[in-house]
Parts: sequence; structure tokens; C-alpha cells
Amino acid sequence: MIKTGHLGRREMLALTVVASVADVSLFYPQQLVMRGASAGWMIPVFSMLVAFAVWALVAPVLVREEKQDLITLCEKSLGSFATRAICVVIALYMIADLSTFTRTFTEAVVTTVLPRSPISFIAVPFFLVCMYYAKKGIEGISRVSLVLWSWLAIGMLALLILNWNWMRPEQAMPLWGNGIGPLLSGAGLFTSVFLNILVIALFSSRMRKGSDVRAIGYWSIGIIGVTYLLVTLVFLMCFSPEAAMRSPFPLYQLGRLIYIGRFIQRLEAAFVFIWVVMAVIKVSMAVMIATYLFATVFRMPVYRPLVAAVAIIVYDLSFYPRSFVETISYNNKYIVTWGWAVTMGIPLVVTLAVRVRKRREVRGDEELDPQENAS
Amino acid sequence: MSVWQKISRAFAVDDAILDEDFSLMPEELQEGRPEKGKQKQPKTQESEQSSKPKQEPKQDLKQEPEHEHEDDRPSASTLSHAQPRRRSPVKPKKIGHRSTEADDPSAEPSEIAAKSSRPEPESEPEPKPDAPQKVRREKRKQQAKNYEVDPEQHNLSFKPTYPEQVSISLHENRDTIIQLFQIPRNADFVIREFTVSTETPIQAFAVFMEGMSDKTIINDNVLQPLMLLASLPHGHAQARADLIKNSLLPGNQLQILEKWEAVKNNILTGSTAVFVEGMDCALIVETKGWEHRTVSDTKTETVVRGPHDAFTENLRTNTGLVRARLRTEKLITEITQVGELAATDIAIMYVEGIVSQKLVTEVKRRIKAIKVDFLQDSGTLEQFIEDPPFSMIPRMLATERPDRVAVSLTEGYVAVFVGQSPYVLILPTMLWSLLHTAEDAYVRYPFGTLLRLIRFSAFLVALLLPALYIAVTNYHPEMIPTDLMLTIASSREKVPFPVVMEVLLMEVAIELIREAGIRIPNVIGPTIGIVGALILGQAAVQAGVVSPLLVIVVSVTALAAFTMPNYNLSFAVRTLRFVMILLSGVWGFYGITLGMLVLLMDWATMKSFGIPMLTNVSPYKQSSADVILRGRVFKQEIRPGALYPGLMKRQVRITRPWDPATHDSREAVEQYEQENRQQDTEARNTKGKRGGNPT
Repeated sequence: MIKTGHLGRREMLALTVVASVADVSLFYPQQLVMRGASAGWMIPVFSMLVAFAVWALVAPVLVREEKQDLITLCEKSLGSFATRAICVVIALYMIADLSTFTRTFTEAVVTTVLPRSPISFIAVPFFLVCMYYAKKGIEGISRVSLVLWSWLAIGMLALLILNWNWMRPEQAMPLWGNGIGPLLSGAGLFTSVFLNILVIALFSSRMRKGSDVRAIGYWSIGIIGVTYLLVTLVFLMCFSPEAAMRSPFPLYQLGRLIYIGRFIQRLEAAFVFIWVVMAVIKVSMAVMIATYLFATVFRMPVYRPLVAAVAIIVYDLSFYPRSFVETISYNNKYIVTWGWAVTMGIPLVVTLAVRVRKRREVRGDEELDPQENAS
Repeated sequence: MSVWQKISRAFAVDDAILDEDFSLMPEELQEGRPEKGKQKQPKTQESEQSSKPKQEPKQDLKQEPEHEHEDDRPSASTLSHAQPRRRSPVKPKKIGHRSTEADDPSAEPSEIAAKSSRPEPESEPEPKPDAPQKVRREKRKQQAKNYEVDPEQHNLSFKPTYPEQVSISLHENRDTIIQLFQIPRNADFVIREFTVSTETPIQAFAVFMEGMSDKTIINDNVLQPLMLLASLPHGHAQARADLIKNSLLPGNQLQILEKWEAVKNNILTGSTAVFVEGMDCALIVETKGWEHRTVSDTKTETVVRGPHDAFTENLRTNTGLVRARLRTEKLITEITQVGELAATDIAIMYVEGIVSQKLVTEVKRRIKAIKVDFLQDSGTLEQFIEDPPFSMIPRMLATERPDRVAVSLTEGYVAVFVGQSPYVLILPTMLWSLLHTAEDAYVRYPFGTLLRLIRFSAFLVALLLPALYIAVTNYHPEMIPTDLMLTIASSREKVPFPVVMEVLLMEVAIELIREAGIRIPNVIGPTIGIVGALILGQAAVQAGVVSPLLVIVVSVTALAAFTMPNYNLSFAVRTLRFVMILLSGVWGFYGITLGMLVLLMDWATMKSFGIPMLTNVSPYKQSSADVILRGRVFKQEIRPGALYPGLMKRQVRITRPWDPATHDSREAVEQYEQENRQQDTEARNTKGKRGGNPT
């Protein structure tokens, strides 16, 4: 039994991209339009710039400290207690994010694909599959992501292009929507969708080449940002901003809108595939990360026994909001408002701490050297 | 492993280990990853292993029996140590599990089981005064007292009742033969006594198996020279044996054997043993000549363009068919035997210098570990050595085509021939290879690609079409154009069953017809077609049991399943189709998607001899354009990187230097030639980086 444990760069890129763009099939585009109106599509662009800036600070540390990840770096620079605290915070964030995500996902399936079905009838098989994925581990999830991401890209592009006959560019006007203020504040909050930074930081030690980490980060941020941008833009151009604000499932609505000839029409059911794949990959990866971090916190040698427990907790929490609207409200109030602090803030703080520590060490060495020379 | 052990294992694998199976990846790459467990825990499993006092030598010291006849009865642990253990095993570890002897990381689960059931050696030092451990050891000692042979662990070899060495006395040898083969009760063995016609006649006899040996060879090349032409000196036995070997027996393969075990095995394989008075050895003349099917056309992998010969039920003919194509001294055939009651020959074939030695070692290790009384066929061997035994997709490629084996060997695969099996195993394999045929390479690349696309589409159709039909008609009718939807609705108007039931009925009927078609005697074979067509095609529709559209759906599905080039894969697809039907019946597209995701994860993490089944795509590995589509043959410059071949390069980059499209200037020609020369002298791949050096 040999340990091969590493992630290929393509697998890592696919995993981070698919997991981060999963929200695009749910209500995020609607939220973008609500914040930015006709300029909602600009928010991902600004967020992407912020993410690039954060990554520019985080990546060099990860590259330099080859075969180290967020946890080991944190332990080195901030100590054991802080590491545990950070692990717990990330894990709790993941659980909270998953709760709202799974609730909105199951609601979306019930509303659009399987009407009149009990919500648990949808949620139970979904969670079983996610548990199976989480149990298989990061390597399996990343491989499936790599197999499917080209299909997802084709599907998304098809969805966007097949609606060209409904697009009205003037609906994306006025250019600045509600003004630049809401755009910038929205961009700051919206950075929480760039989950890829956190994922790469957590699993950077599993990469065979440390230098790959930097490129994967930049590429994934770019792809995620462009995906949100395109979907929101097409959504806006096909529906007016007013209609888009009332439509919680943009991909479903876009699929429903397709009408090219008599045979290419009403393809929303076919796009169920895209939704479900992205949702399964995101949820399983987040469950896996949460259990992995809990296992690290409690010094457990294994994480798999926790998978079922964490999945059941997420399942229970997902039913805590009374309705879909309340779920979105919770999401906006807690996840969106504070998510950036976890996805961007923690990697940034840890890497800055590593830099400071390094600098101190260098300074300490320099102070020691003259004394040695003098003696 | 009990059910509880399996469940425990499923929940107790170290999370630091992403992949604990055998891998072809070179070890320096595997060890390069630092583990958190190592940093956090001062003593990880590996360090424990290295820091432990050497326990292995205990078993290494256990020498092999000097004589083959000794009842060695190796336990599972000694068997698994037959090959040098280079892999670092990782045991499943429970939370809070106390460290015991059974936690030895070098032990396989089977070894642990064997250890726990094995009596403790008396010389073992006293346990430390540690109460819980003491109790445990007492318990184990008690177990040791009540030790009973576990039929699963116990070696199956039968205790020999014959002497070890061939005797100098002809009479004794004859008695041994009679006792060994139970002559005359066992009518297959023939003892032919004769006198070697010398001045002082010498008694001798020949032993051979009726039906296994060629009588003409025995008469012309054994009996006739010895009875009519011989003139033996009265001298030393060895000199006499040498004379017979060199001058009197004109057989093309002749051995002098002194041990009964070897003599017995040779007689059983069709050779003739000649015993001569005063010689303490037997002369084994190669007279194998049993009846077998001659090389004939392929039965299951038919092609239009390409060779038509197929393997037969003769091992040597099969190896010869491959060797005839691949005429290189680098082609190695190693022969071993499996079977305690009756040995079956296993030939492991590979190309030295191209194949990964790690792969060959692993193949041999797995085959050597098989302890079974009789190994019937390559299909049986496959089940013994495949990685996860419960998955549906085959983990190795069984082929009856020598050309396919030959080309696979040149790519770095290993071929395993089993006794009288007309199917040869190529391993490892990827999912994509199971959808390839030999013909893909023989036709020009656009058509090869087209064939592949058709086959890959057929794979999806065979797996999903009935499920999609159910999902669309039951849950998502809006996807169908209105006219078609009305047609479907009207055709289903009189059908009394729900769609799922209707589909299941038809699928079961198709499976019955398929099974009956295989089992039915050839004489009444056409009946199946008539019955099938009448029942499925006409009567069922007219009776209103199924809708006409469903007949089309099921027929297309069956056709798609028939295009599967691999028989085992076809089984997997047929079985999984029923699962998909049930999922779509309950959840529609949502269920199909979840089912496909589970399948994908299963395939992505499943391995065939250390290679994930979706390799080349995920995980990505360097390879020529021959994975899903069939690229141009003159562009296929490298071998599959996933196999970590010894030499990555397969051909030079410019294989068509005469082509005006390839070069248009003298400078270009010189550059190409220089490139080609560099590639010819390219160093062998030892790093295994991304599957080898790029060419």
C-alpha cells in the first residue's frame, strides 16, 4: 500500500472552479442584479480583481513554503491554539454555507424539476451521494471534476449561446446601474464565492509542484469571475433587471427560454445535469473539508467517521429556515456578509503572519551575525 | 474479512492517505510528499515501521524446504513475503485503537488474521508486566492451544507419497510409477517395457499419457532408436544417460531429471519418461501432442480489416502467435504454475526495457499468491488478481486477438496467458481501452475516430436510453416536441402498465432472448429470432402490453449493447442499465444524474494494477492521441505515460520526411534529422515525471 497522495494541477483547477461556480446555478446572479441592477454583471469583475490582489499576496508564500499548506503554516506562525481556532472557524463556515446552499438547491429541484415532491425525498439521495464522495476523498472528487468540467463548460456555453435570440443589450443599461457605491460594496461581499483561494491554500501541500499553485490560483479566479460575469450578463440581457430580480434560478429560467426551431426548445430539464453535478461537487468537497478540519482540530488520525455526522448536521441545519425566502435572507445576512473574512481573510492573515515571522527570523539572524563576527 | 471488519475499514482509513493502493508511480515521487501526520505525530506508521526492531528477518530466516517433496505448507504470511516487500503498507487504524501486534504496519489483513490464528513460538520473550497486554497474550495462547487448521489459510498442497529421487533400480522406479499414477486403475497412463538391444540386453521402460502424447513421436523417436539401433556401453550411469541423450534419442527437447516431482510433472504435460536399468535418472523426451483446436477465426472480436487469427486452447501456440508478430529478443515469457491439485501453466509476457518492472513484479506477486486446487481459465485468474473485486467494470482486458496483445506489449502492458484459455489478459487496463477494437488502428484515422465515437455513444445509449425514456415520459414531457409527445401519449393510451414496468418487462425479455440465443443448440438457433421478433416486435404491441415506441427504444438499446467490443463490459452495462431504470423511475433526470455521479466516482477511484480506470483523462497523463479519439498513426510518438514505460518514445517525430507538407526547405530537413537523431539517443525514462520524458 503506497501513498501516491498528490493532486494533479488539472484536477485541482477543475475542482476549485467547479466548486466555486456552483452558486451560479442558484440565486447568486439574482442577488448580483439586486445589488447592482443593470450593472450587476460588473460586481464579479470587481470581486475578481480583489481576489487577484489577495492571491498575489497569498500565492508567493505558498510557493515559497513548498509542501506546506494553510494548517501547517498557521501552526508555524500563529501557534497551535490559533490553528485550531482557525480550523473550527473554517469548518463552521463551511457547514453554514452548505446548509443554505443545500436548502436552496433542494428547493430549486422541487420547484423546477420534481414538483410536488417532499423536500426530504430530494435531499436524502443528494446527501447520500455527497457522503459517498466525501468518503472517497479529495483525490476522487478532483478526478470527477476534471472529467466533468469540460461538459459543464459546454453546457453553460450552450445555455448562454442558445439564448442569443432573446438578448437585448440595452437591458444592461444604464452602465453603472445603481451607482458605483453599491457595486464596490457588493464586490467586497461577493468575494466569498472565490472559495478556490481557501481550497488551494488548504491543499497546496498535496500538489506535486509548489509553483503550480500560483498558476492554478490565477486561472481559477479568472475562470470563476468570467463565469459569473457571463451568466449574469446574459441573464440581464435576456430578462430585464426588474424581471431578473424576481427570478431566483437563472440557469433554469435561461434553459426554459431556449426556443430555436421546433426541436431545440424547453431544455431546462437537460440542464438539471449541470446543477446537480456542480452541487454534488461543491457539497461533497465542503463536507470533506469540514470533517478534515474537525479531525485536525481534535487530533483524530482519520476523518471518515465524521463524514456521516457532519452531513447529517448539514442536513438538519438546512431545514432550519422555514422557507426559501428565509434561507436567502440568512444567506445574505451571515454567509455573504462574513464569508469573505473566511475565504479571503484567513489565508491572507496566515500568509502575512508567515511573512512577518520570516522577516523577524531574518532580522534575528542579522543581529546575531555582527555579534558572532565581533567575537 | 468479516462484515464488521469491512465496515470498520470503510470508516477507518487515515485521511492523510489519499490513495493507499498499489501504484505504478516511482517510489521517489510517492515519498516526496510530507505528511501532516508525520509532523504532528512523532511516530507515524512509517516511522514505527522503520524504528521497530526488525521482525521481518524472523520470517526471512525461515528457509524454503530443501526438497520439493517436503510438506512445506506455507501460511499466508510466508506466501506474501515470497516477493521482496517494497511497499509501505498502511493499516486501517481505528480511533483509540490500542497498538497490538496485529497493528504491525507491514502486515496485510490476511497476515494479521494468520498471525492471530498462529501459535506463538515458545522462545518468545515474556510480555512486559502490562495488565491489558498480558490478558491479551493469555487469550492468544489459549487460542494457540485450540489451534485448528483454517481451511482458508491452510496450504492445499497434497503430501507426496513417492520418494524424492529416481532410483537406480528399474524395478523400484516401475513400482513408484505404478503407485504414483495408480496404474492400471488409472487407464490414461501407459508403461511400455522394452529391451535395449545391446550385446548384453538392458531392460528399460517408457511412461507416457494416452491422449496427451504423440504416439508417432514416441514410436519413431523413442522406442525405435532404443530397441533397434541402440548399442550401449556398460559404464557409469551418467555416461550412459549422456550417450542416450546425445546419440540415441533424436527428440528435439530432451532432459535428464533425477527428481520424481519434476518427472511426474513432465509426464503429466505429455512428455515421455524413459527409465533405463542402472540409471538413477529419467530421460524426458518432449512428445506433447494432445488434440486441440487449430488456429481459427476470431469469434468475439471480429474485424473486417486486419488479421483474423485468434488464440486457441494451446498455451504454446498462443505465445507463438504473439511472438511471430513481435520478433524481438526483448520479448520475455515467464512461465509459472498455479494449482495445488492440478497445475495450470501461466505465461507472463512483457517487453523488457519498455514495461515497468514494478508492474511485472506486482503481476507475479499476485499470481504467486493464488492458492487454489485448480485454476480453470483466464476468467478465473482475472477474479483472483483484480483490484477491487466487487466493482462491475472489468479491470483487465481479455482478448482473443494476438495482434492486440502484440501492440499492447509494445506500449508497456503485460500479457498473461492461462493454460488452455483462448483469452489472454492484458493488464492494466483503462475504461477507454475496453471500448477500443483492433480495427480502429487498421483503418484510416477519420474512420477510426468515427468508429470510436459511435462506440462511445453506444456505451451511453446502452446504459441510459431506457432510463432517459422513463424520465422524459414520466417527469419531463415538456422536453419533447408537442407532436411527438402526442404520438407517444396516443401509443401508450392502451398500455395498462406504468412506463417503468413496461420498460422492465421488455428489458427482461431481451435479456432472456440474449441468454437463450447463447445457450440454444445451433440446430434450433433460428427459432430464437422468430420467437423474439414475434413476441417482442408484434404480439406484445398488438396485445397492448407495450407501446410501439418502447419496442424501438429497447431494440436500439440492445443494438448499442451489442456494439460493446468487450464482453465483460457488456455485462456491466446491462446490469447498470437496470439500476438506472430504477433511479429514473423514482427521481427522473435527477436520479439518473446522481446515479451517473456515483458511477463516475467509482470509476475514477477504481484501479487496475495501480492505474486509475479513467487515467489519461482523469488523472491526466501524457499519451498519444489514442484514448477517446483515434489520432493519426504517424503522430503517435509516445507510449501511454500512465504505464511509466521504460522508454517513452515510440517513434521519431518526423515519420514522413518525404512528404512535402512536412518539409519545404533543406534547413527544415536538417532540423528534422537532427531532432530525430536526438530522440534516437534519448535517455531512458527513469524519473517517471508525468509518465516519462516528453519526446
